This record gives sequence, C-alpha cells and structure tokens, in this order.
Amino acid sequence: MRQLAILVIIAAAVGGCANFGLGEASCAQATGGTSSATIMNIQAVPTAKYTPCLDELRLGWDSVEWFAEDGRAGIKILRSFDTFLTATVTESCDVTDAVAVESGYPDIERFEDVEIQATDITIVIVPSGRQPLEAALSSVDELAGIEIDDRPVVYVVDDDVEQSVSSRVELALSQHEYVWIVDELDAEEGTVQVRSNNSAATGHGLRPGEALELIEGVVPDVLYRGSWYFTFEGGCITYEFDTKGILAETVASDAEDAIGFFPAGELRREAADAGFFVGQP
Amino acid sequence: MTPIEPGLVELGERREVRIAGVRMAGRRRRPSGEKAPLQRELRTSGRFWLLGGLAMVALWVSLFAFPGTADWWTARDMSILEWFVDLRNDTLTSIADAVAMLGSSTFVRVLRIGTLVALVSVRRFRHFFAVLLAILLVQLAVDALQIFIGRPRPFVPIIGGWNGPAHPSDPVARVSVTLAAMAYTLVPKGNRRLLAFGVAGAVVASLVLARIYLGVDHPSDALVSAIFAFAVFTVLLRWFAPEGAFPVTWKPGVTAHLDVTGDRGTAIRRAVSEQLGLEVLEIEPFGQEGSGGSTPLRFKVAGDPDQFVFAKLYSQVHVRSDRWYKIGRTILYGSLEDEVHFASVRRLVEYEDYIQRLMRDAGVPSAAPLGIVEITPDREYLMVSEFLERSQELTKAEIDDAIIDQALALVRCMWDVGLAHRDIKPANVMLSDGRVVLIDVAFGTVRPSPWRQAVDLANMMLILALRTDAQRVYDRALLQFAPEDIAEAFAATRSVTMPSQSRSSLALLKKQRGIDVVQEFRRLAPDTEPISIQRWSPRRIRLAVGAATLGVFAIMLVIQEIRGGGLL
Repeated sequence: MRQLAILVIIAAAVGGCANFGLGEASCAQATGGTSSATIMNIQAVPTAKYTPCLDELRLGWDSVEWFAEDGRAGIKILRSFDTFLTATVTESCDVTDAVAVESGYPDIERFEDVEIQATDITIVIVPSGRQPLEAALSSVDELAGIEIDDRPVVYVVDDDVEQSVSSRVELALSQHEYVWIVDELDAEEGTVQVRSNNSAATGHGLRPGEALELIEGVVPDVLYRGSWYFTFEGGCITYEFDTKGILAETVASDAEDAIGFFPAGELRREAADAGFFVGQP
Repeated sequence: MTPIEPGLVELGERREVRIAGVRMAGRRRRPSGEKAPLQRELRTSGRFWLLGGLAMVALWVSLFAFPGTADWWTARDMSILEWFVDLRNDTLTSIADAVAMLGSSTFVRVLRIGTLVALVSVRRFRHFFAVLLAILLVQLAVDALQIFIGRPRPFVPIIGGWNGPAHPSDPVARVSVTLAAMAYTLVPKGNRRLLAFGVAGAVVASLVLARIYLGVDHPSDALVSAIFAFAVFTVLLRWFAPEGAFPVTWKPGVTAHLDVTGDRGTAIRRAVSEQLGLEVLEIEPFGQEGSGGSTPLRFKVAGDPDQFVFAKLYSQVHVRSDRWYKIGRTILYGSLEDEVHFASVRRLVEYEDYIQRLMRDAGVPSAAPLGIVEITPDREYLMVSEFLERSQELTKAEIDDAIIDQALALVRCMWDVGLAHRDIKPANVMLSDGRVVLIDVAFGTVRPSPWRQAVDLANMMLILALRTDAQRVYDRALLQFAPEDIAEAFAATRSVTMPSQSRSSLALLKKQRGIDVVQEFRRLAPDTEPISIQRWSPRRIRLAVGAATLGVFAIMLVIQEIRGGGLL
C-alpha cells in the first residue's frame, strides 16, 4: 500500500502539474510558446524556412507520430497503427520524376508524383449495331444510381461504328478496367458480355445486374499513392501517401487542409533575439 | 555505566545444553542496538547507486511539479555548453565525432549480444534475465521520459548526429546500462571488477563529454542518463541475482547456493557461536547437488572430540525461488497440494523447524534439530541439526527385508498421523546405524491430500525397488498397506510426481537392465484407473491467464525494441 501511495503521489505530481512535454508539431502557437516537437523539427533541418505542422486530425486519421533527427523531421499520420501519410522536412529532395503544380504560396514550389485509382468505376459499353445500342442505352437508364461498394458507376457508351467491336474493346480495356459488349443476340435477350483485364471478371449472357455483381467481386480498392514535394529556401517538405480504400478518397484534400507549414525562419529570429541558437535566422 | 557482574559474564557458558550428543554452551542474547551478524547486502556502493537513482527520479518529479526547476537547469546547461562551443576546433571535433561512435547502436548491439551469449554459455540465466530486464526497463523509461519531458536539443550550433528529444540521453543510457551489465555479470568480484568499473566509467565519461562538445546533449541530459542507467542495473541485479547468492564465476551451472566464505562465513561463525554456543571450526558445502531450495552445509564444531553438525542456509533468494516454483506448478497442474508460498524467510524456517519437530514427535526418525540461527534479521537464517554420521543413502546401502519394512513403516506412520513428506527421493532417505531416517522435511505438510500421501508411498517403494526388485518390495508393502493403497499410489504416479533424482535412477535402470519399475508395480497391484493430476481452480485460471498475458506483452515489447533497434 505504501508503494501504491508513493506512486499515486508521483502520478499526481506528474499529471497535475505538468506544463511541458513533447507537445505536438502543431501549426498553432501554443499559449506557453512553441511546442518542443516543433522546435526540434526546426533544429533537425536548421536551414529550412518551413517545417511541417498539423492543424488537426481529420476524420479517419487515428493518431499522429512525430519524429526528428539531425537532417530530417516531420509527422506520420496513422490509421489502425499503419502509417499512410508522412510529411518530412529535409534539406533537399529529388523531384526529377514529379510534375510541377501550383503551390498557392509565393515562395514555395510544388511537385507531384502520384498514382491514383479513382473512386468512380467506369464501364465502357460497346454495342455492335443500332439495336444493340438501343438496348445498351436502355440498360444504362435502368442501372442509373446503382453503386458498387458505395462507389458511383459511370457508363460510357462507345458507339463509334467506324471502328470494329474488337478495336473498341481493346481501346477501352487499355484505358479502363471493364467493358460490356452488347451484340444482336444480347439485345434480344437483354444480356451483356463482360470483358476485363481481370480474368475473373469476364463472362457472357449476363443480365446487367449480374454483370455488376461480377465486377463487384473484383473491383480494386481506391488508392492514392505517391509523393508531393514542396521546395523552398533551405529545404523541402515531402508528403508521402500510401492509402487504399475509403481513406484514399479524401486523403489528398485532407492533407491540403490539415497539414501546414510552420514558419521556422521566424522562430529562429525570435530565438536569436533571446540569445538562443536554433539555426541560422 | 553500571559494571557487569563478573559472575554473569560466564552465565551463558554455565548454561549448557546437550542435544543428540552435541554440547552447546556459551549462548548469549544479542542486546538491543547491537548489529546483526550480517548486514543487508546493499552496501555502500549499492546505497550510492540507489540514492543516485532516487535522486534522478526526484529530479524528474521536480521538473513537473516546479516548472522553474527546468529553467534553472537549462541556464546551468547553457553556460557549460557555450564554454564547450568556444573550445571547438577541427582536431577536437574529429576526436569527439570518433568518441560519439561509442553511443552508436551497432557498438552497443555488439556488446549486448556478446554479453548475453557469454552468460548463456556459462548457464548463468539469472544474470542473463537481469541484463535483459535492465536493458528493457532502461529503454522503456528513457523512451517514456523523452516524450513526457520533451526537451529540445541544446540551443547551440549542433555538429553531431541526434535522434529524438534530448532528455534523458538515449545513447548515454544505452551505453551505461550495457557497461554496467558487463562489469557486474562478466567480471568476478574484486580488483578486476573495480578495474572494469573504472574502464566503464571512463568510456561513459568520454561519451558524455563528446556529446556535450558536439552540442547534441545538455550536460544534465547525459549525466542523468548515466547515473540512472547504472543505478537501475545495480539495484535490479542486487534484487534479482545478488552477488552473495549468484557469484560471478566462469564455472558453468552455478545454482542458487549462497557463498559462505568472506563476510557471510565470518557472520555464520559468529552467529552460531552466539546463538547456539557452538564454535565452528570449518564450514563446507554438503550435498548441494541434490538441493536447490537451500544452501546445505556441514560444520565441524569444537568438542571433545570435534563433531559435525548439519546446517541449511535460507535466504530471500530461496523464498523467491520457492514462490516461483509454486506458481509454476499451480499453472501447470493446479493446486495439487498446499501451494501457498512463504511470506518471508523467517516463516519458511519456522515452518521447516515445526515440521521437523512434528515428524519426530510422531515417531518418524529424522535428524535432531539443534536450533535456528539468525544471520540477517528477516532475510537469512540457518537451520542447524544433528549430522547423521555413518549414514548413507538408502539406494547405496545393502538392504534386507527389515530395512524395507522400516522404510515402509515411515510412510505408514506418516499416513497414520496425517503427514506427508512430499520429497521422498534417494538423497532424503538415509540409513544411519541400521536405522532408516528421513531428512529434508522442508516440503512436509500436515493433513495432505490423499493423492499426496499415495505419491509418498509410491516414491518410497520406487527407491526400495532400485536396490532390490519390485516383487519383493510389493510383497513387503502388503504387510502394511492394502493392495488398493498400492494400486492408488501407482495410479497417481507420473513423471512429475517423482523427484528428478528418482526419475534419473529409474531411467538408468531401464536403460541398463530393461526394467521399468513403475510398470512392474502397476502389474503387481490390482487394476485401477489412473488418477488425474490436473486440478482446476479459479486461481489456476487467473495465474495462467496472467502469465500468458505477461508473456505475450513481454514478447511484444522485446520484438518492438528489437525492431526499433533499442534493445539488441
């Protein structure tokens, strides 16, 4: 009991009186000053004008982990103990394969190199003639509003009769995952033939509803994978995405909103004025 | 001061007692205020490190309780750091960079794995687990404190590598606990260990200075880590594997037998002299290969002629071992019998003394107890008893029917008075002057379960059959036990119910002569269903679930630490 009492006293002292600790690499200046985590981010890359910070955890983001060591620092965002987004500041970064995009900041350049599997599921319908075309349009009307795994289905009818059915199918498969072929017999019987790059999602003589169920079984997860690069004076902040499923649908916009750039240069100047060194102002 | 009456000085000498032919005279009571023969093992160095560790804890608590403390420390740290920054030049920086490599995970990993491999190779598993536990504890504490305190790196130009918050210093803590572990567990006590501490101290001091010079640690980060890590290991080792019980030697297979030389030897001589009135001339280990629950000793005591007495030294190490042993048995088999552990060494020796006297009162021949000697209050006691001279293990003696009858009569007697010995094995059944004597009654119990009594009978019959044959022993047993009793005894017999010494003797017999004694007895006795030894109880379930949870937790921690490069 005595040991327990001592533990309780220590815990109370620690818990009740604590006014410092690692804190968060938050974009907001805390009332007691900048958090230790942010200061160490700045110390990690003493040349960088900005360092990543977090405004808030977005829906579906379980937790955030901070890391800092000489040369790199940042935050990791986790869901179910898996990191799906990392924002890291380094002195420089390689943007060779990335595409320049508008950053929205005058002193920051932005580049992206990402692989996206969109939310929408596109099905290309290839009719072999006029009657099949009417049948196809009729099917599209019937299926309007039906979703696969809560994802909208977009129907594209390719009725370019100057091209052969096989060339239209080939073209569609090169751009999309699923193709429905509607020939005269299908038009009469109200069925479709399904083609796909995934051999598990092929078949013929299928009602449109059955064809959707076939696709539902093999439809790939939405994904957002790759990197964003923000380069600026003395450093670079890299966002690394590795998301699948529902998280991938919103991760890009959430990252835009939730992760910010803390002005490291300003803090360095303030520190220098106070006689401390956290990098060259 | 009132002078002591001259006549009373010799009072103890005049009060003479003679037990089992041993003359005891000169006993004295330790007056109030006089120190016990042996002080607790946490000596000056132990107290220093314990206080050092506590000071660090107090410092951490003060950081949270009194925020101004942190500012004060930072001011002191900054003045030292700035002094080091002023000293910087290329040569010193190169040296500091090289020295800072001592804190690298590769260097520490090599030392740790080397230490653990060395400990396993000499089968010093206590030290092995102490090292592992200390490393884990220090790492967990450092990781947690780094987050709780969250101290940034020094506000000076940093010219070395770093990772995470500054306080406490992770590399310094890792190196300190590793070097402390090496000095304590790999180097035997004495000048060589002092030298090892000196080297360890020099290495840690160099690392501390290098890290301060490079501006990666504040002086307080590094110093606190060094002291804390060293203190944790020192205190943990003294609790978990004290030097007196687990001396560092390079002989393999050292068991939990206390070292009876040095201070402890002197204390034993003094204590036995004062408390029993016996002058100990020689102390020697006796029968340690058959004993793990105490440190058995033989004393040569002054007399006319000199005599031998038997003694068993008990310490907290033995009480803890007994506790873990009983918890393990409860998890594996359930409460086969009274598995309640002893709360203290004092209770353990009181119990053994009581059982020994109870057995003798009940007519079970055993060595005459001469008394209990206090070495360190509540921590170490010595049980002294008659030494059975001219005695030998029953399995090494010539056995006739009369001896078999005597041995079986002991079990019958225990059954009749409601006792069980619980450790009937060759080393505990002696033949002394034609008389069968049971020794080592520490595991004895009053009103045991019927199962336990049956096991006693089976174990005694097995010992007797080792020197004769099953048929003969069975025939003699029928003179004192019903066939159903014998059938029950062997229905209860399992590998786990036989002491290891009996098991190995039976295995040898089977290998050499092809005789399976247990099966022979089962064949002779009436058919009966085997008796299950598994007993289920809420306590067993709780312990099993608790142990499994702790095991999983420990494995996860170890895996996490290994993955993170923190542990090994």
